[in-house]
Amino acid sequence: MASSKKKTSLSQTLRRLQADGEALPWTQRRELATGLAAILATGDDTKTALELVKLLVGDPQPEVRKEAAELIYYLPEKEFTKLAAQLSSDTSFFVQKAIERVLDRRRKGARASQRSRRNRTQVQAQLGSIEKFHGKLAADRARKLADKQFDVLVGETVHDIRNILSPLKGSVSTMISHFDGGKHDIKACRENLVKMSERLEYLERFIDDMRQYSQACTAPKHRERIADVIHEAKSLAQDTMKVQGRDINTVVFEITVPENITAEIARHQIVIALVHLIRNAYESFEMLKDKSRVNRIDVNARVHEKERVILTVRDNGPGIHEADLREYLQFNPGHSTKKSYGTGFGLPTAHRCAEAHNGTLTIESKLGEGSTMTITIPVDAEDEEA
Amino acid sequence: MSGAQKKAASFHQLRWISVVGGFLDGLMIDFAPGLNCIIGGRGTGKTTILEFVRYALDAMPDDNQACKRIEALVDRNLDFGRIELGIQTKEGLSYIISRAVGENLIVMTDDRKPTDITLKAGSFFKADIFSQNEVESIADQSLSQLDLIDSFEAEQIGELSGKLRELGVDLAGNASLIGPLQDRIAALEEEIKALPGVEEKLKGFAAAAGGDADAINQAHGRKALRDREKRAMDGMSQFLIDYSSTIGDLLGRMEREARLQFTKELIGGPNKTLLTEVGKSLVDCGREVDATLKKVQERIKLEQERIATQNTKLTSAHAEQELAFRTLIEKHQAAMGQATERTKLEKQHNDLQAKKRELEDAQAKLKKMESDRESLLKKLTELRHKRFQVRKKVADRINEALSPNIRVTILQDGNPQGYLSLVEEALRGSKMKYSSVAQKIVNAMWPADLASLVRARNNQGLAEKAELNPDQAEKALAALSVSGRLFELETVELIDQPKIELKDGENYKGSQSLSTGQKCTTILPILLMESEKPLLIDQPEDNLDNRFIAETVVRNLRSVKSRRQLIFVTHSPNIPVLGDAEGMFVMESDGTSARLQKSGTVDGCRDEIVMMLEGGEEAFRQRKTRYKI
Repeated sequence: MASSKKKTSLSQTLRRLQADGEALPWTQRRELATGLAAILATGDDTKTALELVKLLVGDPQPEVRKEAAELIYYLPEKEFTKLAAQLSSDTSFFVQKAIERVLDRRRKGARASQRSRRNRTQVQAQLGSIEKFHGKLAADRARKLADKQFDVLVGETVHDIRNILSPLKGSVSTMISHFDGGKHDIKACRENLVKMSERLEYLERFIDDMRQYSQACTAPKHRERIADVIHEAKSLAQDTMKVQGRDINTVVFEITVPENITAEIARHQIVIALVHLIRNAYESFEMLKDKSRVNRIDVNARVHEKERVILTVRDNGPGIHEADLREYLQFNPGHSTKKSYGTGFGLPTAHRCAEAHNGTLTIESKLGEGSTMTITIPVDAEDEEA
Repeated sequence: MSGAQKKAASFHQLRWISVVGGFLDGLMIDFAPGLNCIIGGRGTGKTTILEFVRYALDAMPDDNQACKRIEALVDRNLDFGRIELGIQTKEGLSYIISRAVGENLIVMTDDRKPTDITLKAGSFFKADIFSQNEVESIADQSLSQLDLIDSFEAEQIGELSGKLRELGVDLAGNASLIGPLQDRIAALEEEIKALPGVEEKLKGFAAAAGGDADAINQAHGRKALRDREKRAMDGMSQFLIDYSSTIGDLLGRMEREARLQFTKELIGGPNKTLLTEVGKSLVDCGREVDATLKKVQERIKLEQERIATQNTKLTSAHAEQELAFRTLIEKHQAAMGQATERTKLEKQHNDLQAKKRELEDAQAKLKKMESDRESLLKKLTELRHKRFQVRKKVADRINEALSPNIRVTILQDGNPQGYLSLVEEALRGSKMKYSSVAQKIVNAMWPADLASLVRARNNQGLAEKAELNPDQAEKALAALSVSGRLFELETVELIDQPKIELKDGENYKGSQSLSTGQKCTTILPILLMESEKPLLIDQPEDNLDNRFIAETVVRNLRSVKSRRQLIFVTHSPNIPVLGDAEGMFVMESDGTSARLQKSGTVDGCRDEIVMMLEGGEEAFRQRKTRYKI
């Protein structure tokens, strides 16, 4: 009932304003515009609302036009484009700025959906070109292989996320029954909440790592000083360790890098790769019980035959079992040995970054002595592959 | 001075300039109503004439440096002399303006009687004067462009500016009242927090008074009432004193004002009989009113005396009643001990209740002032909008005349620098990237809207409108919630931003990014548009090619000169010759002093034009042969 009453009054207002744009004082016209947002967002009676928006974007008072400009965000593409063009050349600074923001928001929304569409078409196109050069059989196998990889990744991701969610759910129901039972043990509640927040943080980290892994390396390459890159990676890695509340002071960290080494790289990608390797090195010490031993991480860089930069991250941790190592070297995500904080995306992401630079990532390890992870990349970026 | 000046024109005119003393001693130039050109060799005082006009009219540029330069030039060349200007206003009235170095200008009637007219407001008489290279500098400064646009509707803009100034005063006055009132309310609220406690305690006393409880309670009640009676009497006496003094302020006001307005000049002037009569009548009226006011004061005095008498009576009645109260209390030993405290509490109670009433009163006042403020702010928005609309109309008029070559647009509130600095200043030190947050806020809303969001403590609204994260919104809101800051925000000046563009090929280019020549090409046609003010330019041809002068400038000035007086200092023969100048003035100098060598029409000064501007007859002839014309 109420809504139908509102509807008539809205269309009455529309008729009044159509007859005389200043039939209401501008402050009321502005309120009217503000009120339309709810109607447009919920989709009730949008026809009258749309007519009103069209009317109000041409209002003589800029305060009214600005409110109307904010509204066009909700309009269908055709009306949106038309009114946005009209408002972009508005004579008021604030109206122009409002329309800039609205355009920006619409564009961002459109870009997100466009991006996923584009990615899907790219995969199709690549499979098409495999078929063209290597035959249908190869393309089919590639497709199957890709599907399988995808299935494995989804399966493992689901598994990992479930591992996070189950204890969370447990904690929540413990809390509920705690309160239902009439108890008010603040200490127990706090402990529970701390546990929950830890799991949530882990989930966040997991998603971040996953995202980093899946982002293609298309960043442009520039000549960078390797020493800077290593130092940046070191402080980033140490910061994340600190944030996770781990003590890094018990580890001796040494960097040996000639100041003059440079390479053409996408700096951010190589930094990320090194961060993951350094974090892995730090985390390898966590399993050692002996508090008296001296833990070290050495990061070196050198140039091999003027062509390749070799970056190594060496730790004197417990080393990796041969079987595990073999699995690691496939660089598939989801094989974390660290049950509570590793996400399993570290080495695969580092590997991808190295590959994107036409480089390699190798791992050598001896049980009881430690591991050495090596990234090799060319000094000069080669021309992009077609 | 011919009869032409008597004819009412719809535009202001400079009739003549005369100089006594200094480099141009003895100079006398009679300007024509249309196009006037001052020519002559270097150092013959052409520029000085123009700057003398500017100095006499006190039409100094805003730029401080330019101002000093002109003052120095006047100082050097006038040498304790005096400049006089004959002017004719658009209403057709003639005046003489006289100014000596370092003195204020004087406006005199045509028969040299001084008046108290000033030129400050600009509606009486004004001229547009541009020194050398000043034209293109307009292209660089948006504030000068705004001035230029405003000058087309000087009267309307002046009126609106006046109203805006008044509104600013009202708003400041309102703010200066709201602030202390808010403080007082907060203090009162704090004080009357004690009221419930006091009331509780008094109730306790009343309940615990025992056998003769009723009698004692009643007695205490009466005692409290006596206290209130005394307060009311004293309050009213004080009121009557203030009231009478307010009326006292009115005494003699009318007579004084009438004498102030009807000066000797007026009652000695041509309408002497009428004005004397009105003045006398006003004075009489004032005296009559004063007599009535005095009667009113006497009546009040009578009332004061009555109150005083009654008050004495009341005091003695109270004394008696107080004694009875004492006796009653003393009879009841138990109540005795409490009486002192109970009396003290009753007093405190009365005190607090008075404060409560004051609080209610203050709250009502505040509400009224806040609603006043709201309507003042609405008026501010509307006046600014009106001012923009005037400017927009000017821009439309310019576009209509000069399209498509020149395009003028105005962005309403387009220069929010003052607003931005206020917000930045507030946000500085709030532990975030304040400048980007400030920019986002400024882009997202008018300052008044920001102030009301902050007042309503609407974090979420601020975050949504300015696209801030909740943390930024919270910090910004906290930093801005200082009441003085909000008042300042509500009234901060928003400046309209003009943009003057020149068509260059298919595109329009902003005036700031143009070459010097293009800048003049853009601004000069706007200056040459129709206006009621005389236009004086020192060497408008600088930086312009001859073709532009011959085509555009000359065409524009020919079309406008019948409705606007133009005075140019020039080295270009095209301006006087093609522009068919009505007045030619040829200056010459011997190094120590300069004089008007010749004046007349273009034809009358043909030889001088050829000599000075074309480089002599021989040069002219040679050019003619060379170009085969």
